[in-house]
Amino acid sequence: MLAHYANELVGYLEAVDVEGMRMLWGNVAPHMPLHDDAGMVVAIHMARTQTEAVRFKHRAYSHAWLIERGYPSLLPDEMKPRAHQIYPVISSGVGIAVRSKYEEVRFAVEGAMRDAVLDAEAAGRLTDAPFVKARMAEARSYAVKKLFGR
Amino acid sequence: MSISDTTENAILNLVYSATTWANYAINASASPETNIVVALHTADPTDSGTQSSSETTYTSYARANVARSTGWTTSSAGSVSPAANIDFTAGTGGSGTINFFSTGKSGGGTSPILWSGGVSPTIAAGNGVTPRLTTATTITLD
Repeated sequence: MLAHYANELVGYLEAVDVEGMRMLWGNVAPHMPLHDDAGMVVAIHMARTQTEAVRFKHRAYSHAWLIERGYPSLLPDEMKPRAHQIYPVISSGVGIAVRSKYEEVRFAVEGAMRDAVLDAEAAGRLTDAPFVKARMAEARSYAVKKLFGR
Repeated sequence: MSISDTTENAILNLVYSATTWANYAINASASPETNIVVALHTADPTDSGTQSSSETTYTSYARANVARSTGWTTSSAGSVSPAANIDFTAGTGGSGTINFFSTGKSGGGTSPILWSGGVSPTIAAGNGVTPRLTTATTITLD
């Protein structure tokens, strides 16, 4: 079904046409829920990074757009160096350094905090530092409570 | 046996912000370190390693200095964070995945590590990429 609309799909993706994509998606998958405008823009950029029929400069732009906002990019790894030449990116990560007398505590707490960061990334909030820190603190507190009961 | 929250905060504030630990320790009066040096690593530098252990080698990489005077938050609940994002120089070539970071002493080379830990999500370094450790970066003592 989607193949039937291939030309329209690529056109809407390259133009980041939210209304066009919403209309197309409504025809192709009427049973599926639709995002709001902001969600559609993110979905379009993710689709652009993954779609081979989209011209490379558009895929590279979407890759940079997603990375800088803390969303995962679906651009294949082998294409990333060339994309970064066209659109340099700031690639964010969160450092997590845990020190404890006990190695087991270190690994458990660091692991819980790392999972919290990855959850934030999946929610598109990696660059929202207060949000990420709060989730990390919760995860740390929970891990310590599980280990020591305090 | 554990370290109290108050003591954890005092140790972290002394090391990262040069804040006197009342009645116990003051910042070095002779040649005190003015910066905490932050390095990036492709593998765990380990407790016995130095800042040059498995350090990333992407082209144009340099360690970042974060001032002890203003660069770190006041420790709370046994954890400190950088006051601003730590941006490293943009890559102009090379590659490698940044999985770990360390904080340590100035001087370059095999400087000793203070704290080290993982980077999440990992950062694919290379041409056109500026690695950034956000202000959510957390250094803890439990």
